[in-house]
Amino acid sequence: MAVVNRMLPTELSDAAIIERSLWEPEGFAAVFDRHYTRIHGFAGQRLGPSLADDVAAETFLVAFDRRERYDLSRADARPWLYGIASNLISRHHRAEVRQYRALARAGVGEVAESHADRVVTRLDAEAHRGPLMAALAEISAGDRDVLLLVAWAELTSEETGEALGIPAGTARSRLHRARKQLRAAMGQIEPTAEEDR
Amino acid sequence: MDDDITTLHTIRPPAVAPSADAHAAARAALMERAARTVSVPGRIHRFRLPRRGVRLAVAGGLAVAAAAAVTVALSLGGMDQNGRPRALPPVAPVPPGGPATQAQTVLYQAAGQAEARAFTPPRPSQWTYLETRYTSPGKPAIGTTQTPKSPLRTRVDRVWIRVDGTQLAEYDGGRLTVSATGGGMPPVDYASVVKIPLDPDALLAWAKRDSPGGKTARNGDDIAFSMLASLLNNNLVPPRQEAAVYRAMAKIPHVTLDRKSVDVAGRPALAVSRVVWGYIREDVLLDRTSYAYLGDRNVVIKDHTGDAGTGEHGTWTVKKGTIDVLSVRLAAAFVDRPGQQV
Repeated sequence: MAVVNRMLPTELSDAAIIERSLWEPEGFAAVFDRHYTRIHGFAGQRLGPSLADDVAAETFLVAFDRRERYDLSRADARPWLYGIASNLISRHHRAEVRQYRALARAGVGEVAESHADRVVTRLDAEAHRGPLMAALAEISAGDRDVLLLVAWAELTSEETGEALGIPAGTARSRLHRARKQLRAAMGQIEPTAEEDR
Repeated sequence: MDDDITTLHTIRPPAVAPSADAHAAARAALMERAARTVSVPGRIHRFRLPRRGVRLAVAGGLAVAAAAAVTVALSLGGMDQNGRPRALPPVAPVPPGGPATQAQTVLYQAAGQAEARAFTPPRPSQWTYLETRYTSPGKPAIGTTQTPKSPLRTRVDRVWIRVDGTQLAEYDGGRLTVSATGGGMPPVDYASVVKIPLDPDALLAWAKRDSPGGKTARNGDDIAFSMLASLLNNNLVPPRQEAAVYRAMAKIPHVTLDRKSVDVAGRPALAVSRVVWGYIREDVLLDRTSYAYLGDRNVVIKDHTGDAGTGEHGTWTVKKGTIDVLSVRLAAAFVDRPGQQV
């Protein structure tokens, strides 16, 4: 599993930076400098590069406007930012689905080179690319938000609930539903209603 | 993690890094909005910063682990002496006249990282300890030519400077000798460094104005870049001042980025560079992920013949590719007395 970037203990928390930005608005730049690249990366994975530029930029404008409402007891702002990004991504529902369909058709190994360090896992996983991407296109938007925050943004289901403003239990049940569809797509359980085949 | 999630994770599309243009535009949009936002002073009293003790492990290069041995009591540093929140320094928006270069983007990120670093000011009775390894072919003698193959000399420099700027201590032939600091530019004492302007434009003006010969417009940018690089090299610069230095560097024309420059003391470095004096590329070396300051390198990029600085007649020559000096930070910390190492 990829390494999750956690804050070093000696760094100021995101919450402290956001709190300061209440009276020093320009200090919010530190939140941008810290998280822009990963938010952009996540948006790009779901929408492709050009929409990612818009969504990532907009995420930080929205976050800035809402900084007074940030829950300062949450040291790490990533769930909050991913949640804002998820909402913005959902405006591009059709583009997102198109992206997954395109990826489902893409040949095996086409994007594999950037992860050369996990060759063995990949070879195994590559076989599932087409069906999984096709499944992503079919999963309901709300379930997909939860699934990708867990699988791609590497949030916990608690953080995912926090990000999307839903109870953790709801996040877990959405995740459960989405995973059933994934496993069906991978042929691990009886395929349910799989209209894509 | 469970198999299906792991598989989905493994086949995720690669996260493509944003282009420098997109990055700059997004940051500029945010800064523009922030600049138009008026903070409400009355709010300040409604919030309290968490008061947590944090320990310092500040040092570039090899000394990160070692520096942790001597730590300075730290808090988050969010309050001034009167318990009011400290203002963050102004943030430089993307300069007018075009999107940010890769170097500017990295400098902004380095500034963000520096500012996020926890720090507590040292006590006035403490000393800044800097341990630096210098590798160089030495000063060229009259009538000689240095090339990339010239033998290199390595020396580890250990210096203690009292935080209030009154004294400096070095080992001289095995004996610790204390002397006066004697001022100079860039300053090498905490008391002076903490007073440098935090506004990037003001800092640039300071770097030019207060430097010898800095007023001449012709090479003012050379002087400013070298001076700021030297300031980093000769001090344990506090976070806000360090961030200001990077933001000021981002405003100097023709600053370039090399993302895979060198390994400095076993750590991968990137270089933020500028060609100065027409024949030397000055590299400020930063850690590729944390942007921690690692050191400084001067590389000769063009054959050059000179006579300055020797006080004798005749000339010396340095050939392209010669590393004039590589300085690697081995330790940087505040300590209680001169001679104390970390």
